[in-house]
Amino acid sequence: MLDSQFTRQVYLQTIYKIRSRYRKTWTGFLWVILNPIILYSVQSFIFQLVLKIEMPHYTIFLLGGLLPWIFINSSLDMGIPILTSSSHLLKGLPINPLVLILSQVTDNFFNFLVTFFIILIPVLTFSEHWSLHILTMPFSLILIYIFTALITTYLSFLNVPYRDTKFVVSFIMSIMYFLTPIFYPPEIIPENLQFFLHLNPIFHLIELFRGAIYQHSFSKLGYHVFVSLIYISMLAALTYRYWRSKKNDIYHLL
Amino acid sequence: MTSTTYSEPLVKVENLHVSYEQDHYQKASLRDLFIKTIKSPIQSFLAKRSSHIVLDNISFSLNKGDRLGIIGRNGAGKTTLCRCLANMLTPKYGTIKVPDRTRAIFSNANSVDPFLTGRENALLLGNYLYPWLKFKELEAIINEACDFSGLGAALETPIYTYSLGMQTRLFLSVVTSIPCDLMILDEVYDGADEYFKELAQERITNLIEQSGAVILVSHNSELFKKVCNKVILLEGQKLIYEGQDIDHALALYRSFHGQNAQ
Repeated sequence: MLDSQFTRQVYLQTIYKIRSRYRKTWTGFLWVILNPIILYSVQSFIFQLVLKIEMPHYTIFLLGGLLPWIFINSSLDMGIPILTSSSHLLKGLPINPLVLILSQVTDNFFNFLVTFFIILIPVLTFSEHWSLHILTMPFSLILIYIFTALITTYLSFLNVPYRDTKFVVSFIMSIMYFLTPIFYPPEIIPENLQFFLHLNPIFHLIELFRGAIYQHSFSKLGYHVFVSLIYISMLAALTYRYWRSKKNDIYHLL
Repeated sequence: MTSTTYSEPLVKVENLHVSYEQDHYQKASLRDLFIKTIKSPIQSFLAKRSSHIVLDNISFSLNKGDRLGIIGRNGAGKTTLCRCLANMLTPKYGTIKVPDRTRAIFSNANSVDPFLTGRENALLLGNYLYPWLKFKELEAIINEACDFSGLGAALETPIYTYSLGMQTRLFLSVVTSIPCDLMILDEVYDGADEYFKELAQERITNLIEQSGAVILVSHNSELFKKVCNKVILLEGQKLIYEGQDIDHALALYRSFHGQNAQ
């Protein structure tokens, strides 16, 4: 399935999606980039200056948690309904549905990277809080991308027979935002509740990403990679199985 | 699906059986599924899944040069059969052999992104229809198709500004660009204006002549007589008739549904 023809279809679909989005209005590009920057700035201001969270380099800590979260959340938000909204195309031509889903996730990933580096470069320049651990970032980015692509694919399949999937996921993600250590350190969660925290796959992915720019420690890197890979394997198996067994129903109900 | 050589039949369908799960219609939302599971968890888990059979025990084959017409009333399974051949659906039982370069078209006006221009949409459509072409070749074919569409300057404007007829022109121009080993056309003839329909008809006829084999779904009996040398009739999930006598197949079809059926 992942041959050169498939790759070219995803590549062209993504390039033209980006082109289409930014052609509508040049401020569209600005908004996509400004939206997370504003959210990040406001949260950084509130937690640091109003709630007075005392953590060294809190702005970098927040950056490492908030931007991957925004990427995952926006990919789910825009990716889950993509099959139902493109039903005319999927029923009219034999197009691999994965092309549409992956192009949406890749489009969001591009925005995530642009936003991240726009914020990261000045923050690191002024704080001088960086080390060679930043070299682990590409690996954590790849894991975040694969996880997001898989969960978006599975849920977009599920959204075909169950049209309220998008709303249910949106509700769950709004709760998960507070249950995941995005704006607070995981250490403040009581010892007896830590088990539940470690069941959350997004926690492991965020810790991996944050480790590259903030924690500067390899102590738990292997653990987070291991758990993330387990979740990714489970999701891949679940998505593949669902597609294999429900493919006809998905096309029929589109 | 596997590719075939021309010494064998180009298309071979054996004992095809396709069904859908009906369960989804009974609980169309996660909320309903949740309530049903909470109400009776054991029954929900053990409940036997009911299925709706669309095609049952369908077998036929096509050789190079065959032009097959599929006749049947709405819901008889014509499109489902074509989608199986296009590898969009997976049969529950049975085997399908089709050539690698199979092209299937199930609508006559389609665009990928309404905010992209006609030319950009044509390129994306071409990328889906002819993935085996090199990018330069694809660009050349799409430029030729754009010229054929006669849309001129409108090709550089977003496709959401197009009328349905303009979209049909562009779409038909792209899908009829190059022949292939097996072409499946599911009710794609209508939509364009009369002038363009004549132009497109000629192009489609040429394309059909150059393609390895063609499968045509339509409710237009005259079109069958003009284009097809073979016909199958689907009724009640079964293949009722397979042969070369198109008039006999149409008579059978009418006998099922009265003289008003076309």
